[in-house]
Amino acid sequence: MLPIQQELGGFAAPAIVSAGTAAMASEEAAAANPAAPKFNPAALPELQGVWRANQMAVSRTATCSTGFDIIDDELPSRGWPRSALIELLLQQSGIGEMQLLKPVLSQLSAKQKIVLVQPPYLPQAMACKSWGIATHNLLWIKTPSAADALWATEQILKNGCGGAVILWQSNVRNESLRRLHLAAQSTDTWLWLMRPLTARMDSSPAQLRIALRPAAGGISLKIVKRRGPLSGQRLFIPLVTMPVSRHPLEQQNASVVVRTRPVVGTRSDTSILV
Amino acid sequence: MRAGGVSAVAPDTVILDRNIDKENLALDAIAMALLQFTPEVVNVDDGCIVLDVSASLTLFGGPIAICQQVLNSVRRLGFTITLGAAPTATGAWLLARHPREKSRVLRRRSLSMKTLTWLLDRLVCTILPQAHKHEEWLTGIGVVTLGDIRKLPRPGLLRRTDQYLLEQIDRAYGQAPELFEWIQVPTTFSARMETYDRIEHADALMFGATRLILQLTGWLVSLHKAVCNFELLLEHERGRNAIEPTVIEIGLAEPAWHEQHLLRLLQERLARTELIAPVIAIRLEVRKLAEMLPPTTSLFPEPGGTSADWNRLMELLIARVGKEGVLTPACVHDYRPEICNTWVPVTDQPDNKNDEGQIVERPFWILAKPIALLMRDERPFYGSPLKLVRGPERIEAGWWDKQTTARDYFVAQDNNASCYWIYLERTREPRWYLHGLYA
Repeated sequence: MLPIQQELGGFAAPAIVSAGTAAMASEEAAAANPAAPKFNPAALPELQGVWRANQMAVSRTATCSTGFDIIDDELPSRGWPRSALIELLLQQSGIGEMQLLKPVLSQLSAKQKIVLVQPPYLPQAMACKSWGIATHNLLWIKTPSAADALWATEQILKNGCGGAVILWQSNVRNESLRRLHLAAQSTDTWLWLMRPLTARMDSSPAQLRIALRPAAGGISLKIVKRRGPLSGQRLFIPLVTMPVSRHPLEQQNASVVVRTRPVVGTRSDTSILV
Repeated sequence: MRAGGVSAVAPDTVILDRNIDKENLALDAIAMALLQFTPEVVNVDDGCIVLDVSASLTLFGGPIAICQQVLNSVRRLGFTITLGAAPTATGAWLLARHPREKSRVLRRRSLSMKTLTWLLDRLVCTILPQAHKHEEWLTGIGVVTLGDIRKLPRPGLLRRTDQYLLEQIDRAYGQAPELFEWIQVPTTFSARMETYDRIEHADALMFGATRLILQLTGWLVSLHKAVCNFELLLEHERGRNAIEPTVIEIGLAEPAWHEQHLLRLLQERLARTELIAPVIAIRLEVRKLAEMLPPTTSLFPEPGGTSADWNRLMELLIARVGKEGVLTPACVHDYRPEICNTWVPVTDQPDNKNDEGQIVERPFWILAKPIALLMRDERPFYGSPLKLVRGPERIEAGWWDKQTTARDYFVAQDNNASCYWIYLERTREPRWYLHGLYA
């Protein structure tokens, strides 16, 4: 696991860049004219149509609540954006990423189709059923190659009949991302792209990028890119359907990366069972 | 020009004999494809096809649009035509036959009788086949255009020429009724096309297949039918080393008659086909038909698309990734997770809607083949030592179908805090396996 310090550095979201340039310009102005009063951004009049770098972007795009207030607070328009490419960067598969999507998927599956394109393992219909996802609206596309998976996703997006598409890809070229992004913008379908965490340093046209890491009793996430100010903090989302609950002590400092307690050596399950 | 003269002027010219049979086949193919615009299509002599589109103008968006579409579909069949349009069939035929002249702006289309009369009056009278006999006499009295003929007194003209010439002129100017025997649409469809060369790549067959599909759509529209199932036969070598033709069967979930959809399906299928031998001809045969459904009557488009759109998407996906690649869960009541979690092709249409089965908690991901886990310090190890947090859940089933499973399932957690679904095979030598991941 990487130290937190390293993760904090290196992200240059567009919002921060624009804030930085504005600050630099004001510094230059102050240097050229020492008599000028110090620049105070809060003193600027509220102008209509001007977006400040520390504000969350407001757009008219339809969103669907994630079902977790902690994430909703951090997202522009409070929810997963529709008709946009959303990237979820996973440390590994099977860390609770599907449970994060559970509220939105169970809501969508009541009326619309949900398509899983090239998932890493076999999806379990029973798990979907227990989560309230209508299984008759579930579709699994198994493709022989990554190109076929991207093609299938694009076709589903172009068709516009599906409610949500979740695509798993390990190596995606930038052109493909751009194509997906454009295809997503033209329809009313939700699109999630699951990528490995190593891809978080690469540039991407995705509107929203979230890095996910495992945590006991839930999932730890960090927003890598959003239409708003840079989000530095790591969020812990408790997932009720996760089989392990979180230790009460660790709940108090959620931003710390969870370390597992040392395994108790005396417990021996095997001898009890056989 | 004679063959000798041609070889003197241009020695490299390849001289081909005229093949009347092939010409007729081509005309039939064009007529079949044009049936999609109107059921009233007829082959008249001299390689002309007459269409009565007066009833189709509104549907296809007016005279200019329908002309464009006719030209477009014939071009995609691989032929070039000159198109004339007029209020009378004979008038349109004359305008289409009118040869191009250098000094005059060519106009082959007219919408009103007034412009048609004006256009026809300026045509050379020998354009009418009936006037050929009297060409010498007509030139002798100074008659050049059709307008000049019409200025002559009728009884005298009838005496000196024949009635056929006058009848033809009357029809062209809309003064006599026109009667045609429109072509009868065959009840079965089977179109064949020979390829120009031996084709070794399935992709290259797309051009020929396009021509066949265009004929098919024309035929379907004229009959008001939609196709459910059709076959494309790729014919290989004949004679002594004859090889059975390759059959590409395309079944549709929803009957279709749209040329674009059929073409895309065929394209995806051809891209996946590997040819066993070079192809010398292709044949398209319709196996099953259904009635063409009328378009939806609802005023607003349905949000999220119609079920027909969805079926079309499924067909497209199946055509590319195969039937085994588009899956939906089937409801199988079994305790064994691998049997319970059965996915079937979407075309099988499993009845999994009203499902009252028992719901148990399961991990989202299941491994297709359980991974045998290493043991370290008498503890299962997967990346890091696994800690058992919940269990056991005993599953014993399958003694009736020789896939007996006797397992104790546990939820285990590794150092990263991700959860796994592991089981202990209850055999004489117990072993740990990883079977699922909690996603």
